[in-house]
Amino acid sequence: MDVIHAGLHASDDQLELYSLDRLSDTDLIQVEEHLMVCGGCRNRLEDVSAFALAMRNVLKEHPVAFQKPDEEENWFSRFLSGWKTPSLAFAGAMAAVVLSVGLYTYTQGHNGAGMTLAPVAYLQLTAMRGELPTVHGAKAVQLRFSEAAESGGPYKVSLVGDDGSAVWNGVTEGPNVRLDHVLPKGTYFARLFGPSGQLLHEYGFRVTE
Amino acid sequence: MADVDPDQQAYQPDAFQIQDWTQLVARIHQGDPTAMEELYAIFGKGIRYFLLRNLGVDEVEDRVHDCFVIVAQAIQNGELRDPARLMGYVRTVVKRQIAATIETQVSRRRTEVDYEESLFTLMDWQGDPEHSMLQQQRTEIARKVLRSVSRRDREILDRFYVQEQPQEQICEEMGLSYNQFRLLKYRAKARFGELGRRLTAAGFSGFRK
Ligand SMILES: [Zn+2]
Repeated sequence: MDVIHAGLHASDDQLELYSLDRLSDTDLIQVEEHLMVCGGCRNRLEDVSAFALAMRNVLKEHPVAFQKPDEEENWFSRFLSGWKTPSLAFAGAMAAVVLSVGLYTYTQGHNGAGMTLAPVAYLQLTAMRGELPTVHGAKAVQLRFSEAAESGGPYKVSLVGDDGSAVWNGVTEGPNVRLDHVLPKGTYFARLFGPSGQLLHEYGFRVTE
Repeated sequence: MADVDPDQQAYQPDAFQIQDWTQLVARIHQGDPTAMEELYAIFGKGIRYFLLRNLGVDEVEDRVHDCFVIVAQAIQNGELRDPARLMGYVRTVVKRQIAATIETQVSRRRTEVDYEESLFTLMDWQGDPEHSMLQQQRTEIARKVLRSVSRRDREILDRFYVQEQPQEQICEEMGLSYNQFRLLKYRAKARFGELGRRLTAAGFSGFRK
């Protein structure tokens, strides 16, 4: 009896691109024909799809809104030590709320050295390489992204510390965004994402005492 | 980073072999009932899988049956000129069934409700409670996975999953070898699977293995 091939098993890469609707037309036909007769590849497709789609969704909805597990474990002690180190991280939106209350109680409008903080610090950010702009610590920070258009959003904004830990996440319709948090001394990066989740620009700045 | 190819390690492609389509098609053409059973054994699960994936569970058995009737009749009427194209033909039949079902549902709902709403309703099966819960679990696990990777690795994953950049471009721009890129995804996926299994062991349904 003649034996014919029903195609090779699909590779993980092919299955992943298939689940993301990004497989080339040629591969698409081959992979789908093979999936029609191969239960093993269908099972693998389910696994690969579950991962790929979850990653895409989370990265899209919460761009860089993550932190390392060690920071998650002990965010409160890090909050307290954040006055000495620039690695303060907020454990997501819920923690951010708790923390903002905590910060207010703790500072009473003062910085760690007992100096009175300005109510708002304004910072215009431009996506150009060079010296990072600097701002003094304040009770709130208002950022203006030069490259963002008025009503060009919704833009997703993600603020991270210099170690990549998430500090703040939010959405803005235009170029201005206000953070009602005291940012401890340190270096920060604000990432601006377009309406479909693509990274548009990254801006760096420093907060001094 | 170790220079291993996770895909190659985990999965060695081999030829998937099945019976000669020519004989099977000839027997169906002659009205051999056992040949129909064989056809069903080979394609039944695959057809069902694609229908479920695209249309949901509603009336799936009837649709599988419809596909078989179309394929069998085409063979019996001598319309399948090249038996080697049987897999391609079955795929085409299934795709047409899916497209026709979607078209029917959309036009039916168009007469009842607003067009935009109809498209939404069409995909309602994907929003069933069990499916949503599973999605939520996977999303939560993906968040955990992303929290455990570095900022640079997140950017790489973001470029691939969200910005849809080809891996060649990512590797070039991020200074990665192809294997490093795959290893990063492999590790993230392994972590995703591991956390999923832990969840299953803790009594949550939805993750295989
Ligand atoms: Zn296969």
